[in-house]
Amino acid sequence: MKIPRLNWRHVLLVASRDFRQTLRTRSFWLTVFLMPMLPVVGGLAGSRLAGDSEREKIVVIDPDGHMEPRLAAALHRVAPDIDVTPAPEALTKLQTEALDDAFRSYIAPPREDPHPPKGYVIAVPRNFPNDVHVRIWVSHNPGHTIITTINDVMSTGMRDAAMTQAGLSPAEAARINALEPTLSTRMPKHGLSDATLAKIAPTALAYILMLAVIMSAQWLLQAMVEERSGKLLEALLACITPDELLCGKLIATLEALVVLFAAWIGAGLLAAAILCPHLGLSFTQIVAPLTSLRMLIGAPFFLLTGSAALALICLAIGAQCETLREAQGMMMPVIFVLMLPVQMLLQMQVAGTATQAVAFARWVPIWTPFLDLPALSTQADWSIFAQGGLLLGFCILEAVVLTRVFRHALLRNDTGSKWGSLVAALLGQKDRAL
Amino acid sequence: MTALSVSHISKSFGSKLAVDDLSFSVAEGETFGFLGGNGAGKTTSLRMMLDIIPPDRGEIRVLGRPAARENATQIGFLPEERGLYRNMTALDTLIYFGRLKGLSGTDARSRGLALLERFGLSGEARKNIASFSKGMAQKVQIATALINRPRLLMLDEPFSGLDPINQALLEDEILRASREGAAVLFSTHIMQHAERLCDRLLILVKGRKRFEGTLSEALAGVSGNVTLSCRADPTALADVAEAHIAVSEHASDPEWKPWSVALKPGRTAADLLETCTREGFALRSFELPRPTLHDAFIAIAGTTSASGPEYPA
Repeated sequence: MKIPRLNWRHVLLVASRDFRQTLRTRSFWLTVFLMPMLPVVGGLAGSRLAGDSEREKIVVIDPDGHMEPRLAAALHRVAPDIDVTPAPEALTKLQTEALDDAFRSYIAPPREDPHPPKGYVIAVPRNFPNDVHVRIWVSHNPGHTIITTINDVMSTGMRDAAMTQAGLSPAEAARINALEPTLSTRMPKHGLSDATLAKIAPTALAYILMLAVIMSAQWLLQAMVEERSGKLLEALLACITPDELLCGKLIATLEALVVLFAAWIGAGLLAAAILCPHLGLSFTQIVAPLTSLRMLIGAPFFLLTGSAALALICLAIGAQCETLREAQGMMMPVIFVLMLPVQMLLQMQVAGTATQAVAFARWVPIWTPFLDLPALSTQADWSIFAQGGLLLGFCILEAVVLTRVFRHALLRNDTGSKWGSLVAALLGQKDRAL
Repeated sequence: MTALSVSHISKSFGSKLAVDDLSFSVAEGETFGFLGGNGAGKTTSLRMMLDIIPPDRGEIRVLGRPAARENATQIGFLPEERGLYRNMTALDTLIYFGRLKGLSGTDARSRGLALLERFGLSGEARKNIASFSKGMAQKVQIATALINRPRLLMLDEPFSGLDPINQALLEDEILRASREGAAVLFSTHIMQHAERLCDRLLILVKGRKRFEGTLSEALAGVSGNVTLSCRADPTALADVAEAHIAVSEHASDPEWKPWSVALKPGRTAADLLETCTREGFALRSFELPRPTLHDAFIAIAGTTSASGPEYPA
């Protein structure tokens, strides 16, 4: 296998031009700044929407007036924002059959109000608890807590009455009704164990790598297709070799990814610093795993080699195509095949399931960086070194094989199948169409 | 000194022989035309000279060294398929290509600015190529080939797609480069440019060299038809292979008709004139139109058998 000799001046000139070109594109800066904003915007929008859904109003018809104060007090305890009001006197005089018609218009939301309150009407029968048929009209799917609370209050009222009729004093009846055990529940703070907290930041790095790879594919294809569709290749190849062009583009991509990683990791740390106190989490505990020596050396290594392994595939595909659209069409299934298992494996790794499958997948170089990043602190040294070495070897092999594909594709001017041409180049068949 | 020496190179793609045993050389200060129809093998030959693709056989030496990418510092190249980075400025484009061809950043900048000024684009130096007209972009493309003051200028179909102003500009630049001692090799199938510019030329047909020499040598082998104005049919004359009445707008006297006469192989116009004089064949006019390179090219490229005219090779 012949290792190409590179003129590094040429490589760095290509890398510098391509990097500056990427920095000039709007899509790059949108990716750098917009992606970290999305969770914040999503969170704000979610809380806004959740706030809107809490407008609830309850009207209580209680002809005897015994239960309405107890219901209001209990409902306010479980839902402080709820509006509980006694029914107008006219309503209390209606017969039960007439109440259906009267409440239909009350419960139906007014058309002009885009966010109508959710309504309940509770009709406590006259002579409760001799008559125990409590009716509830609801404008929507009722909340479990509200119904349970109504049931508890009415049950308590019935038991109070029953005990009083059995000869107990009202105070004694109330005391018996109020009896309840003292429950003492012990659970980890916020439901997250220390081990889980330690996984958050490294797992976030794996997701950052995954998103970065998907995002950078677009710039790479753009850069590759620009030269081919812009008819610049022949003029360039009169000055530099295809290997130098490929290497320069790869370095430019890695430079852009370093900017992206720095921005996203920085934004992640900032968000964690702001949000952790509100969530009752310890910022130090979350960030601590990133400061270990293993992580400080291993994370940049896996981020860069993982990016390079996938960038080389993008470059080879981009070189086959005349237009960006054609390149995207070819790239889509490749991204799908590479990234879908990564998503599943990462979820399995976080959940701690299918440990054998995850352990096996770590030895597949294209998935190694995604699965090793979250496990850098927990894996054995030999395993990390071996998997890192395997990944590096894979990158070198990939560079050599894909350089052949790249060379083959650069001056090709046939119109045959791109996949066929790619496979022919991988198999080392000579180009017949130059 | 020989700037480019090509010796018995061949190149095949699969079963197709693109270039077959091609040899020629170009001296410094010489303008050399590389002529051939579409698919003759011109672009493949140029790519081999630039080391973009290797020949299967033969040797190429550029400025005394084997063909290699390192020679790019001494070569200016304008490909047939031309393009530019649309989002780069004209000056940055020239600096980029200048640096790829070995110039320092400072030299590339000053040379780029000088070229843009010479081409009337100094006011547009810092504007993106995307905002340029096609003609302006063509000037920048020509400038990228000249940025490193090449000792060997290789141009692949340089005039195709250029507007008339840029064709004249490129002709001037070719003559200037040649005057300054550079060897200029350009491929073309447009004969007028080759006729005006070339010291020597080579005609390539299906990958094989069919002619190499000066313009006058190319024209020497072409016998143009003689035009006579006479009363009698000239077919009977011994030197005449065939004759037909030519269309003329100035035939005022119906008795004297214009005839276009093709001579028998080996006979010249002088032989015909002598025969007319000797045999008392009445003539009012006798014209021998000068053949063009186009005639020569058709005669050379169109000849497929050994029985055709002989040309020096």
